[in-house]
Amino acid sequence: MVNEYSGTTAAPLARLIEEFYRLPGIGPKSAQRLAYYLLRMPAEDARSLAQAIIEVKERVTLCSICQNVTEIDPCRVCNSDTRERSVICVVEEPLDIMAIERAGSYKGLYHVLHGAISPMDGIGPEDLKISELLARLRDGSVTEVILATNPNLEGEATSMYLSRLLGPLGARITRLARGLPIGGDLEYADDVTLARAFEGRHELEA
Amino acid sequence: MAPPARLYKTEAIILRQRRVGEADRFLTLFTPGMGKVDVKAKGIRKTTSRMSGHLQPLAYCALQIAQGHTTDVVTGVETLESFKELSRDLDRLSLGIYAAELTDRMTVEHAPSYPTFRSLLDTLRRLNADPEPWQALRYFEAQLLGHAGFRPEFGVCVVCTKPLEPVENYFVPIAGGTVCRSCVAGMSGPRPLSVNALKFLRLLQRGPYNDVARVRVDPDLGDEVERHLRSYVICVLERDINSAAFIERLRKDGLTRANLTAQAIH
Repeated sequence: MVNEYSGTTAAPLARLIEEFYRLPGIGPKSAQRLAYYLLRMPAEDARSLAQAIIEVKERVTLCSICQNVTEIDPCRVCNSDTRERSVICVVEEPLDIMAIERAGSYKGLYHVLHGAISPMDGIGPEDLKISELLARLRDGSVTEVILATNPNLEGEATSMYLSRLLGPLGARITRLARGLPIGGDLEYADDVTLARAFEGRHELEA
Repeated sequence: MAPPARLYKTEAIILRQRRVGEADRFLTLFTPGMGKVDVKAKGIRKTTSRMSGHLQPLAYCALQIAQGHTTDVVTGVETLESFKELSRDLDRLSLGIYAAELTDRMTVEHAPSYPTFRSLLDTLRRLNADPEPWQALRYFEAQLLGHAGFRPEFGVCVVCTKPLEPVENYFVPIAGGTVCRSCVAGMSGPRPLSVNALKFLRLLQRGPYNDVARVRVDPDLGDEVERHLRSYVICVLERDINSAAFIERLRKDGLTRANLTAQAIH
């Protein structure tokens, strides 16, 4: 793409457009808009953005225990005295932890797989942080593993694989409940969601 | 004023999906009338989406689609069959994913093939319910090769065209089928083919599925048939099917349902 701009666009600007174009979800037009926006913004703001990018790359690593992104190793959750240490919630991506923490209803530890099994795309168990999870379960201190992978094909494949793999280790393996979303209409629910919602029904307290 | 969107309706089996943008997905559909098509489903990664539950891979749906400038967009969907057992059993799910990937790789866009659609739908029903899903998948593999125009020859020797003797012969993927003992010398990549494997491969190709389902296939014969068909698929596609690696991984790690049941008994 650099060649496309090299004739008419200043070389540093062409390079910036090229760098933005490599980001996920950014097309050629968006890359141009972002680059020209940065060109027009105050130099101080641009420097601050560049510094933030450098700091993220230099200071953020993966927690050696839960594999979440962190500035200190082990991360704050793994280091915390107030978290329940016998329960591990397994998620696909670090962003999933942010969503669960925002809800504030879970107080245990986490484990980030950094993806989900996707056989069609050639992503298998060996491409995820599964061996690190197995290592955490070996000492027997974890009594429950909550599988919080996404409720789609890849997430289901991952949770079924993990349930088979981890089952013999003795910890209780649970899966987040699936059913009707708050604010949804019953008439639009699909068969699988409705079936799971019926299976997971519970008695209302009087 | 913009002209109204042109809508059309179709049934389809969802072969695969990939993320795009904030909350959208591209879906690859296999339809009875248009063959393989790519469409966009907007907002279906949000938990509040009314369509996300219906638009999962391997689901058989009725869709309403709006024609777009570059990509058609799904505007409505209803599940016709969701194959619940596939979503509950990893063995069956992995075979279903293989069937979908094979269909995706063996077909080209906008090339209608009702027999392929019918075979895939029947196969998903069998993988969902049959006690021997492995045989359903091998039958589909053999049938799909035929629909795609790559039917391997199992009746005669592809070199001398004489009927095969009931002895060990050879399967030569690059030659397009079986080769007898007299003609195999100098051929590239011959694979020994047992009499029973040849009989079963012929049945997969010619027989109705009910006849295939009645055969009791021992593990060695099953392995041999699977190896031959896979080598032929690799030869035709000039690449492997990704999902096959996951099926092999489950077997290697002893995580198939049969293995786990055997371990529990011991």
